[in-house]
Amino acid sequence: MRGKIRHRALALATGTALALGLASGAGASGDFGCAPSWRLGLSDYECAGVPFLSARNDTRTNLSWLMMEAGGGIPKEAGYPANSWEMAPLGHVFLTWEAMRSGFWPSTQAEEETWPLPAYSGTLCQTLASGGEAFAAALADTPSVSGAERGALVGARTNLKAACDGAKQEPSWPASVTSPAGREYLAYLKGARAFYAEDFAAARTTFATLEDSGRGWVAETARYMQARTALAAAQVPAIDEWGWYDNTKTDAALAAQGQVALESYLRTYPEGRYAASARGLTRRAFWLRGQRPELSRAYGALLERESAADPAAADLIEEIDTKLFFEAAGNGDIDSALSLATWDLLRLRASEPVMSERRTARLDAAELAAQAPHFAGHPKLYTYLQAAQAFHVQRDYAAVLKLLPDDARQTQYTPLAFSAQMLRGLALEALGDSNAVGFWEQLAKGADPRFQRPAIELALAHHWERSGDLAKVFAANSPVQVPEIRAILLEHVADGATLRAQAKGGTSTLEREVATMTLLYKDLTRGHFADFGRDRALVPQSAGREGWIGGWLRDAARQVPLGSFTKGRWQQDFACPALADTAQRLARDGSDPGALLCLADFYRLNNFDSYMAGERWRGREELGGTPSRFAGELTDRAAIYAQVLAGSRASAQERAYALYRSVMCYAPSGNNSCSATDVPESQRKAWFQRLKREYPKSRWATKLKFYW
Amino acid sequence: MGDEAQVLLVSRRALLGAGVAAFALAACGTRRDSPVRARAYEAFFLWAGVAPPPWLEEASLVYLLAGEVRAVRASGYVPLRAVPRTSAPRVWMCVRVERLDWEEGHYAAVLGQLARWAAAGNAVEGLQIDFDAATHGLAGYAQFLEGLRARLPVRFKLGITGLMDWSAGGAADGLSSLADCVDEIVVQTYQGRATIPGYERYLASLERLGLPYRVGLVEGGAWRAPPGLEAGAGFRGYVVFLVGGAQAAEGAPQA
Repeated sequence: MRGKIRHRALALATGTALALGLASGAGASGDFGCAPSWRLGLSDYECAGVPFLSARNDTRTNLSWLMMEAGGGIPKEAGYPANSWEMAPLGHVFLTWEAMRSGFWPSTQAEEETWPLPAYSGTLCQTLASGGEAFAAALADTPSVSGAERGALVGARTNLKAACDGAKQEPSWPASVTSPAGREYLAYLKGARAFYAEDFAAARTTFATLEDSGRGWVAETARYMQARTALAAAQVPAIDEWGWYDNTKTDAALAAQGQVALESYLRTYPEGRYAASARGLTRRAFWLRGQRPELSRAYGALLERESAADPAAADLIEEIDTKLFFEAAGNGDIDSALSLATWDLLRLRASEPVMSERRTARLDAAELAAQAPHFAGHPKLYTYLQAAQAFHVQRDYAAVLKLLPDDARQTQYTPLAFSAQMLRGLALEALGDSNAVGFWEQLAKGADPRFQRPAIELALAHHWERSGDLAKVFAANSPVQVPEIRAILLEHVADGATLRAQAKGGTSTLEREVATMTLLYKDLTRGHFADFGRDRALVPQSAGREGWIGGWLRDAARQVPLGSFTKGRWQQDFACPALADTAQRLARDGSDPGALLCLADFYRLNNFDSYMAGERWRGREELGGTPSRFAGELTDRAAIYAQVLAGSRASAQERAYALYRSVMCYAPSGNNSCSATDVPESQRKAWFQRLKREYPKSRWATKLKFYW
Repeated sequence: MGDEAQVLLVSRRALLGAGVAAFALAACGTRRDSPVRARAYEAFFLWAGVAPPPWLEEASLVYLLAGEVRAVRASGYVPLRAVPRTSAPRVWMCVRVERLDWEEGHYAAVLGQLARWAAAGNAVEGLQIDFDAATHGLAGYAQFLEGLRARLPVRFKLGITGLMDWSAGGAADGLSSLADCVDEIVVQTYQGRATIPGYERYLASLERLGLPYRVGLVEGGAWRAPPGLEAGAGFRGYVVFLVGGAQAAEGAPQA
């Protein structure tokens, strides 16, 4: 479960189908995309989850791992989802629920792409079309209804569609239907129209008179529809005038009647046409009555019984999420092991999604101890929860190690076994245990290469970055092979020699391009101009300018704008030579004012500004969050202009341009585009006045009308 | 960041290019502006996940998120709210849209829902489309809106939400193509505590086009009206995006 928003929407219950879970969770993965924190031991919720049971994960992700645990592990057919704009930032290491859904249950995806779209989806009327077909088929099977009557009855179904479209007045019905059987079908139609028109009292009365009909289809359908009608009626008081749904305001008596009607239907027709639907509606009745323990047990049984490989598993998981976890009622009313485990993991979170309306107290050890009986049949899961509680809440890492012994020599791991070993490894890391690396390396051997292994590679890379062993990540036999992990380290922390080596010897296109891009960018911005002259040869002839510097992990095409250095714009309205010449001039004389101004123009014209300003913003705990090993300090545009203005070598023209550009750094909004730090407005005014006063005839003074 | 109200209010361009977050922070001014108190306003936007406050019946105009057409999992129109039955305020039925390649089934579902809202006795003003045109481009959007307008019964207006990003990169021209087929636009003029750079130009374009607009504010967010804003000929007032009890009291999370 993520943000409250779409989940609340899911609780919306105008429809009867439990498949209302069509819309999925909200949260940071909405329009923002979902960019992970590149670390593993996080206790806060994140839209980007990890391939093991965790407080960080979406409840649906944890439910999925638990369902796979119960049903034979990760399905063979599952694959990491195809790359797309949404998946790109996950880097094959993390999983959003959306990613998981499309990677594990691709067939449900395909199903949804079939057209035409179901009409009235998510409302009572979504069964209008299927009901019409069933009605016609049943009629065709009833010889005692004449062809003329049959035609009139099928035609009369338009009254049902009108009801779905909002018509409230009683329609006219065919008077020509007079046979006893025909009249029962007609009565059924009247009941169905009342149902779709939300006249539930009339519908129930009508269906009740038909449950003993001699027409089998009519009798069975009428009995089922009594239940559906009662449940729909039970929801009426829960919907307010704004269409807002509050499940605590349902009519419990009507919901109970619905429950009785479902039992009666299933008793009479255990293998009936609507048996599967009726079982789903039984869960709905629990939900409407607020019977969370019963609901939790029903879901618990399904989670253990249904196959995680079944495409319907994803729907079940979404249903559990919305119906059981969304309503943050009191703790203690979820008592089936798998549902409770998922709820407990949520309660281990240090923080919830922004705007979440649920603030559940964190799970303490005593409460978890009291839950022990519920986990009697799941000792390993219970132990894992105890360890996770120690890890996320108590931060007692020694306790984690005691609870979860080393078992990293298996040839494969179920989701739970893997979760336990991952948590053990993270506890070793937290304790600074010298065996952590050996542990990860061992664990990597049996990990599932699709989902589990990338997380271990992240753990190793994270460790080596901090232990001063970055070279091990890029060694020939390195276990760290995920291109995104290697690219992050190259971009943020690698030194010049490593970048130079990986520009040629990198194991993927992304790695080679990021190494080259970063090397050339840092050569320039750290003042290694002679190196730039040599390193520029690393840019292939074919290099393009598409993509954003630093934006490759957000880009499904992983484009690296390497061509900026060879084909980028180097001048606009201030005359400059090509970038290579500028760099050469600076290699000879690092404070050549004209060349410095040209370098600044190169940054400006090739969209380097925002990247330069944001370079230092990486989280310290994230992969790539340690200080850069690249020699030298960043010189941004603001610093270049300051340097030109402070020295005595610049010509009048150059000085005027430096003043003009200094002011323009703040155009048009007052935000500085040349540096991460601002100067006061008085300084900008001083630049402006100096330009006007000292260089009044320069084109830059003429051009500049305001300061910001 | 990461809440749904801000989805509407925060620049989606933050996705592009690294370091933008740094600028968003840099853009946060130090001025002390007063938080938006919802009850001081008359028009509101109610997202699907926000409980309607008890006083909402007293509003004069309410934009209700009704449902969405999502891109990620090719789905149809998904309702996110039961059909309302309001008496007093005029209402807009808002649909959040992530894709523009609609099948006839999408149109039928959305327009059918609009008809049901009207049939239920609501004073339906029109249909509002919330689409992230900043990412996908204005040109295709104009074409989409034309098609929608052609199918929309004349008794309903057509409105859109607009992000200030549209003013970037000369997209103000693109606005003129929208102006022909929409009746109003609800625009975002600020992000976090700061007004969005360039909003004056943007509103000036709207004025030039004669397109009526409302300015979106977030409940609990900081806001100080820029000079001259409320005097614009096309200015029709504010729309306050309700964020629900706790956040409203604490102040909305800032970008």
